[in-house]
Amino acid sequence: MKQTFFSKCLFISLFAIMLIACEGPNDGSSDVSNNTQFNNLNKTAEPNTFIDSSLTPSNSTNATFYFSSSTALSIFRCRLNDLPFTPCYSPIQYTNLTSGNHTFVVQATDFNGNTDPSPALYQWNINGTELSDPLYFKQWHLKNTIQAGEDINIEPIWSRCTDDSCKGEGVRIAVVDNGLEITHEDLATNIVADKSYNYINFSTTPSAGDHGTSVAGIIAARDNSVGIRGVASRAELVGYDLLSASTNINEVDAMVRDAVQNHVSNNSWGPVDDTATLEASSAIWRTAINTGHAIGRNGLGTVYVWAAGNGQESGENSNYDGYANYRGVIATGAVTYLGQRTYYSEQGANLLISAPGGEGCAGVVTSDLTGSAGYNSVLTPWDDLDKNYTICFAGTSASAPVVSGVVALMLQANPNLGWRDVHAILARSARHNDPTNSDWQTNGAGLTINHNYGFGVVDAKAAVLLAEIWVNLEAEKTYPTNIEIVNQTIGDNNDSSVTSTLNVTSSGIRNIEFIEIHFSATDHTNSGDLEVTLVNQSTGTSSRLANTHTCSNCVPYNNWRFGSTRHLGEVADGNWQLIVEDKASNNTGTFQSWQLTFYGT
Amino acid sequence: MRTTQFSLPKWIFLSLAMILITPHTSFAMSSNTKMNVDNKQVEEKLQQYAWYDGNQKRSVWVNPHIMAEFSTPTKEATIKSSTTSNVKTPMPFVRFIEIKTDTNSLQAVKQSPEKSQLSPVLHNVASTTGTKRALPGNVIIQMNPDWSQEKIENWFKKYNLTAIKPLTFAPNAFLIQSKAGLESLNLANKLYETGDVILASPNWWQERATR
Repeated sequence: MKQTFFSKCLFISLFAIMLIACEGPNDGSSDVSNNTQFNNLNKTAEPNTFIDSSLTPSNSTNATFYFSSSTALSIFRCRLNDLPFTPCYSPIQYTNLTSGNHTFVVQATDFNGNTDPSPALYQWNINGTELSDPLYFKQWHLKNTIQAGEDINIEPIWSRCTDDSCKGEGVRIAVVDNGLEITHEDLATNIVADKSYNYINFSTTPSAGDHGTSVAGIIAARDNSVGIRGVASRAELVGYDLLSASTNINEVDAMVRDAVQNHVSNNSWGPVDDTATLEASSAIWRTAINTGHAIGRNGLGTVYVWAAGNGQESGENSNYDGYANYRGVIATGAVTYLGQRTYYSEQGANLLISAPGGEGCAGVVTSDLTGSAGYNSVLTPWDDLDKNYTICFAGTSASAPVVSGVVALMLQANPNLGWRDVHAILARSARHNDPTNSDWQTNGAGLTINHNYGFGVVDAKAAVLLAEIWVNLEAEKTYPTNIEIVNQTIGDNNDSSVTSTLNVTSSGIRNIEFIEIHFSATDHTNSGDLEVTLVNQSTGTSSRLANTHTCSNCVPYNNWRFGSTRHLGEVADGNWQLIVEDKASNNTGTFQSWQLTFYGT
Repeated sequence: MRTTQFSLPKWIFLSLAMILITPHTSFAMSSNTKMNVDNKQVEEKLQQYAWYDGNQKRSVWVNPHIMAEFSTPTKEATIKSSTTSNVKTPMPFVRFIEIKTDTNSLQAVKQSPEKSQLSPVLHNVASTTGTKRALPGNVIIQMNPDWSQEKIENWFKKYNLTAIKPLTFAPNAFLIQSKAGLESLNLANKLYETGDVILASPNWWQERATR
């Protein structure tokens, strides 16, 4: 019995060996046309190879080819440039191609071993150095190949020019941060000599701040076959290391320094997050912002971009931050590579827009301090880039400079835009992301708004195209209502809200741009108990100004200034309600007063 | 082969666990209580000051346990006294010094050498755990934009003020010289209360963070 079994195995094995020998090797490396055994079996006409279609944009490092043969059941081999032939099948995609001329060849061999003696050939050219930055393929915020469409849609803008007329040239951005490594290989060319500032030693060489260096790279890393690429890769950069010495005098200086020349001011900083405590901006800071609007860019106004804050998980709201909720800045939230709010990005009725900010080491790939300094060091082996760059830069610190870069492109496209025009264009051109999010609301002007995203994710193509045809807004009007005295007790920890209604008439504002809401409940010492909502009764649009939350050191609402972008385009006249609810126990107080100030035309 | 397993009854295990955990919990609670007592005691000690942020009066509270020392470009490490910890390292723009003895930060600042740049640390809330602010010196004022240069200079003389430099954030804005610490806050309040200025604020240092 054993012998019989052995015999059967031997027979089967031999038969299998014969079959394999007949099929021939399958390593793809031999030239099938030289296998004389097959050539002698059946002499038929050689197949013809066709390249049916190709996707070879001249400004893309990717190329895709679809091909076929005149003979069914053909096999193919492909060759790119001078590389050897390898087996392939349709379609085939090549990625990370360098700029210059390229040649694709494909050759069919039919089932009988006949090979096309004249392979199909396709030649094309990839323009210039725009996309030759070797780490560009990792910059999902510029081109997202993981979740198509969840990027800032910038390549169509770059593809419009073969020179520098679409990369931010002539626009200057101040990076107000903890410093900037002005000699970084991917930033140095764009740094304006002797125009940065050091608030410690008063020189024009700022501290080499890690954070500021990463912020700067997102904005304007050079397109130069080195490292990464910035949103506005030919814009100019200056760095102010304010955070090295964050006094009031230095803050206001950083806001207005070289205001005529600084088109954009990027600010990826603010009061400490994670306290969920009201942090007011100073009157002098707001005065400085207003001055920047008045004198910046010779009267058109410096554009201030502000990180909305990272304290969402601590109960923060961007409207508790007197810097991010000021009408003169663009409060910017952050989204992941899937286009959804990051876990840390603060909600707020003051948000204007969002941009890629990433999470952890799925962050926004950017520059890092040269060598082992900075975020990417020997201690971070998971940060697998060249040590001059990092994949682990994430936060609203990262999303704000993305917007700053887009603003630079807008201002290059239309240098006559005022700062208010920039705000309006960003809002009206934003992409409606995360469509299933339940917070989306359409306001009275037909614009969709979300407490998580503002008007959506920045869309560079849409913003630049709209900027090109934009008619500037008329001179701004301001309408403050009277202070409405309420003085009603807010029921503790119940659903009984206190509602006050203001009737606005003859404001002269038919196109709201921003609303300030001043609110007082000074005797309610645990301000975190209160939920505060503004409602435009004419349209139903609501602004959730404050959520019930835990604050470790609560500051009472003492004429606190909230901000809302959500009523953009609505008419100011009408009835406005402020609804105040106490949704936590053990502290009580009074809804004392409130006031609205409308800004618009 | 038969094996015998020793199996601890669940109730004995839980009991032991509770016995082990409870002392630590009690200790923690008592520590918290102790800390709460300390906090309450600290809060009772917190001295309140007011200052003018534009036309809005704001309150700040002094942290009695730490003070701030500000550096200058030429300043070396400084201050050794019975009330402070020793200075060990080159100084950043601001560093915080823990008060180790029974005194408090206000007294420690008063006892410091004349040329030191010490300030009490203050908070926006009556708690020592709030975000920090301190006073590195000097006062920011904004005069009526219609005032002439001569009128401004006379006003400076009237109040014995030294203008360090004009400021660019607003018209007729100046940086006025004053020492670090509460002297700058008091001077700012005094100038604002004259009614002659649009704004008078101490030059605060405030805790800030990158995002």
